Amino acid sequence: MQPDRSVGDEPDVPELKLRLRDVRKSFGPLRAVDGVDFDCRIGEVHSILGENGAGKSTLMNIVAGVLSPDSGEMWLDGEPYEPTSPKRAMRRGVGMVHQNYQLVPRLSVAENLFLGWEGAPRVASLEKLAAIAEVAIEKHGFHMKPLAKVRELSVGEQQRVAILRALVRGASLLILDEPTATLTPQECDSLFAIMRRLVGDGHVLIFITHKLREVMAVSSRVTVLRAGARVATLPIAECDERTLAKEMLGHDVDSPVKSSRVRRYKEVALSLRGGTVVDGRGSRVVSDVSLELRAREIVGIAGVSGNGQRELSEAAAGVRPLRTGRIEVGGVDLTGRGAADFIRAGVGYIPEDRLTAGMVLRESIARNSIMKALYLDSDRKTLTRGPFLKLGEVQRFARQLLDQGQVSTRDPKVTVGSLSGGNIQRLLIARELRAATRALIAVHPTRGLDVGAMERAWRIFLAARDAGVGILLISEDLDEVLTLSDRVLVMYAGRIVGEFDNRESPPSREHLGLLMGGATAAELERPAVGSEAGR
Amino acid sequence: MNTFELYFAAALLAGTPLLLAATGELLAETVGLLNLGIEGLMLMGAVVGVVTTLKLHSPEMGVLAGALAGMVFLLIFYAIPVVLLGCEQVLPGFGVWFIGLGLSQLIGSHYENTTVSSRSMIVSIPGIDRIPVVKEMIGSFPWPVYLAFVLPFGVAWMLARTRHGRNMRAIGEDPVAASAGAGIAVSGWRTFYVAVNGLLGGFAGAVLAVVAIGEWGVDVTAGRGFIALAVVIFAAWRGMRLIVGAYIFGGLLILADLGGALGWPVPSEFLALMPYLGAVLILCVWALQARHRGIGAAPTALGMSSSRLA
Repeated sequence: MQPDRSVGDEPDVPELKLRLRDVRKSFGPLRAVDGVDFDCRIGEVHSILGENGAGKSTLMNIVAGVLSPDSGEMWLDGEPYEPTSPKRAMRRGVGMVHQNYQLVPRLSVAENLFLGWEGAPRVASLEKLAAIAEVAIEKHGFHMKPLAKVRELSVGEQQRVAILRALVRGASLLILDEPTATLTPQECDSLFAIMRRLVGDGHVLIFITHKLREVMAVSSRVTVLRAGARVATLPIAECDERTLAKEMLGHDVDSPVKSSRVRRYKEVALSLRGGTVVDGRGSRVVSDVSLELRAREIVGIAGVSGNGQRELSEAAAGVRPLRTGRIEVGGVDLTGRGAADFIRAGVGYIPEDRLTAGMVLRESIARNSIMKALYLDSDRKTLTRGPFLKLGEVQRFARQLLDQGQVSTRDPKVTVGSLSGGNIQRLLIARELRAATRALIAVHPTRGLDVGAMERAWRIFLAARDAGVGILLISEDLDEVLTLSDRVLVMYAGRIVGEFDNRESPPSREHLGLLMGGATAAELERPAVGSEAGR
Repeated sequence: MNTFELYFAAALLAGTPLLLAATGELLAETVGLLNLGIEGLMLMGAVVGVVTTLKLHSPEMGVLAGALAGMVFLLIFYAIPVVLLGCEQVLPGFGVWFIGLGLSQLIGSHYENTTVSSRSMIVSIPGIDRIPVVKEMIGSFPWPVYLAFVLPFGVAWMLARTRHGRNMRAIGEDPVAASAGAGIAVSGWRTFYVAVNGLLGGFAGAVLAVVAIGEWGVDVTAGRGFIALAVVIFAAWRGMRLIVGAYIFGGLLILADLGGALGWPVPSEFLALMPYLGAVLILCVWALQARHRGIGAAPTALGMSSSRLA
């Protein structure tokens, strides 16, 4: 289809950087992008706001040449624009920084900056490449060591490499896909500073997010998408978080989830003393961690991924042995015992990687539902007769979980793999809550859920706590940790580096962020701590 | 010419097909492709090489034809399933082995034990006649021996110093990042290096049959394709170490001949076992070393199915 420049429903505005008209993209029966019009002006940070599955990333992947639209027209700098690959888009000055930066971890910063780019020198020693990189780094006002290996960098630093890579290739329109998802609050601030500086240098930025606060903090205009369609484009001066939330969800916001104060029980649900855990390669990733989870309380562990949370959670659920230390559930020593004993003791576990560790995707919902129940004497009696499963009872049991989890299907015979990510997560939460009579280990339990489902899950966790379960909540999402937790611990480099009573004296997000980034207590005492330049 | 000089020269000749095949495999593995079927590939190169030499009375045309045959063979039976269709890599590799084993027997059934001569390919290093000992050891060989020796230098330089080599390594490390993040056309690059792997593997087989042994016989490679795989691991995926590894294995391969000639009181079967035993031992030592020092890690995405690529 050849776009006609003279035809448009608005007169050509010269300062328009990007213009989309009636762009559509379907995946099978799903209309991911359903006739979207979109204008992006020169000199703005334009936020794209929407829930998971609203079509934000799909739309911008079309602009970046990753996906091709089924129909619709696009103009860039007033010229027709039909990118057929990310490379072609880049040649027109459109660069996208994906959620998982797409860097090669074992190569250096300099090598990553120039990979696959025709403008890079054909023959150059690593040192020469680093010198060229140094020039680019300074030109764009970044701070990074060109010879450092990407895998040695923090998440925020890796993101800056990905941004710089697009700039080096001459991007004038930069698309950032959920760039704040895994950053500490300080890293977010320094990202926003970089974004403002880039706009000052004449770049145009499109910022994809589902966090209202960030939209308000950094953008000049915002486009809200819902179910693949554009519902509004507003100047930021004319909106507030509440109106944006309403546009995004399509209905008034429920009253926010609030944790009522309950008195925790004296009884200890799960306790860990001096726990040290090693990862698969034998390096120590959890060092001398002691924590006590009482019945009827939620203990939140905040921290940037990769600081030992995964291994700590695995140890607490009994799927990874402790190197040293002692673990008790309900006062019974389970040190050195396997996952089955933890299940029998009443420990539920929502693992970080639910698709491989949480569910067997190729098995039916029914089979997945009873996996833990078969370890529990009471459930086993109803579900089995001798060595045989009572299939009718199994179906009934599975249907119960489907109801509790509000999963979209009612049929326990379909495979778990055919469900959407959100439905799998709800089924998993339902199954684990049923098994968790004493303690629940929940790792990023709402990652991938949309706002409505997330709040429903939060209410369910709070109800479980009120009923007497102790919940260990491990999450990168500070909102989640601060909303649900009675106590907050901060984990950094395998240790607990801070503990707060979230009910009596809730910690500030900034304070938590600094601890998550590795600041020591002594550093926090000093008045001025640099957060802008990036740690 | 004493025994040592003879043995050294023979080891170089025996190591040459290993070195050629391993160089091709190294390039393919650098872009993440684990071709386990070099054995079948070398057999195809060997049979086409010998038959062409006999038909055209030209060993040069023979090794050239063997190389081209290897390229076409590998493109059909490896590039199509692995790169184009995104299959996993192990079974297509074994497929290449078995198909090569069977097809080469079919093609070569009337040409067994017919000797070919490659004397016309022998070249001498100019001026080396004046240096004693050395001239016996390295002075005069068929040109593929020198070519095989030089090639890894070029490969090592390319991988370490050039844009092209860095892009290759990125593909082998993380094809998704290389494609989505850096805009490298991963499938095109991989197809190209399947072709290169086929070319060098076929050439290696042809050199083995036409130059080193001088005839075609069923399963003439006798496991050399798998030893070439071991050489790549021994080299820790770095070009220069290929040379050392290939000649060590070349020396082990002819140990039985040496033992027989000198009348060693060791069963020749045991000596013939040495290259294979050596491969296992070297791999064990390498694994321990790698664990201690963290060196020589394989490309991260080696052997991973490319079906995840968009």
